[in-house]
Amino acid sequence: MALPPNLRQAPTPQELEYITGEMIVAIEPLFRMEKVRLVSGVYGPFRPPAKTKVPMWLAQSLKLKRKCRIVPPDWVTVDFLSLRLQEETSQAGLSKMPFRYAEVAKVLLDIAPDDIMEPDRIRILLKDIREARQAKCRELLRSLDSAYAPIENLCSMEISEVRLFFSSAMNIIGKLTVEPAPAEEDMYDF
Amino acid sequence: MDNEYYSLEAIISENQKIDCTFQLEVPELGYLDNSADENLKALTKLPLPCWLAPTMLYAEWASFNMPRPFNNLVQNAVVAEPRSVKIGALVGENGRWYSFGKMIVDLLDDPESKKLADTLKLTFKGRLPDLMDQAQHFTGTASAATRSGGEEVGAEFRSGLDAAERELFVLAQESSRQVKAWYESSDRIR
Repeated sequence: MALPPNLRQAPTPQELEYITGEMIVAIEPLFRMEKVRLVSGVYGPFRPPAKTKVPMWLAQSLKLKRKCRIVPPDWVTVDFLSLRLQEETSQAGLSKMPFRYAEVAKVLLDIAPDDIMEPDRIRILLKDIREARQAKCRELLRSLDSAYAPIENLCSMEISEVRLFFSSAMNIIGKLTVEPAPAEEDMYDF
Repeated sequence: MDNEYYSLEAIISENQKIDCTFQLEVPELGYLDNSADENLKALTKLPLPCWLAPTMLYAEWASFNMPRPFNNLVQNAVVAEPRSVKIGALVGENGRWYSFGKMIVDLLDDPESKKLADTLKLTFKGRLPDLMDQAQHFTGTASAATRSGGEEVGAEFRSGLDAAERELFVLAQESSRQVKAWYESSDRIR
């Protein structure tokens, strides 16, 4: 196959970010325009200061042109994230985070830090959460089996990060597992 | 690890030799033992390669001793602490401990074969979390080389990796590097 091996089995982070572009977010436009008809739907009208909902990619593009403010999702707050971090460090299993939290948070902190309350503290909290989850993921490797990995609430970025490693490891475990011996000895009866 | 016809890994690990004892006299095979006799005498000890040994053993022309990388001493050691044994160094150049072990498992009869297979599997699983940990720490190869202090344990562990584990290590390192690069990238136009 022409595709390099690391692109064959798991989507890259860039591809995941692209998929996140389809998510609908609220914006406060800073310009006046009637409804626009796009392939994915009709968006607008844009009448400041009324909020309107557009896909992430459009919000991103408008924000970069300084034509809107992005309204961050309700989980992008210091309160919510510190609660999750506490949960993450006190419980054994992974806590339930929005499935694409890593991508959304990265994009928002990257292009719209001025629309978020206390972006630096949020950045630190997210990093702590990510590290706590990674450590747990490693511990869960002990219970890995050839058939399934008993891991719940893994998010899309984390899945793509461990996908190749886990599937190859499970392959090897599968090969090392012996089934009850089949009656094959006849083959060698000379 | 698999016995597939086109698997290069299987071909490489078939070059391992097993100490066999011939149970009967084989005519015209004396040259195998470098002896002047035309016939190979019964009770001659001879290392046979893994691709030849199964035929001999199943036909009961020969019996074999447990190879050194899987004797009781090593088995006890890996059961006690899987991470402390340099399993890659046990089986020579290529360090395919699991593949070789799997072949021995196929040669043995049930209680022993099950025991060895379980040991192999537990060893592999026991080493996985450390393997992933190490791989994620060593995402930047340049900075990895300069690190020191408290790293000796990790370096020790890495030098004893099996060939299959080394492949996993590279996989985990690569995906970890990708995610890291994505986190550090920016869409902002400056």
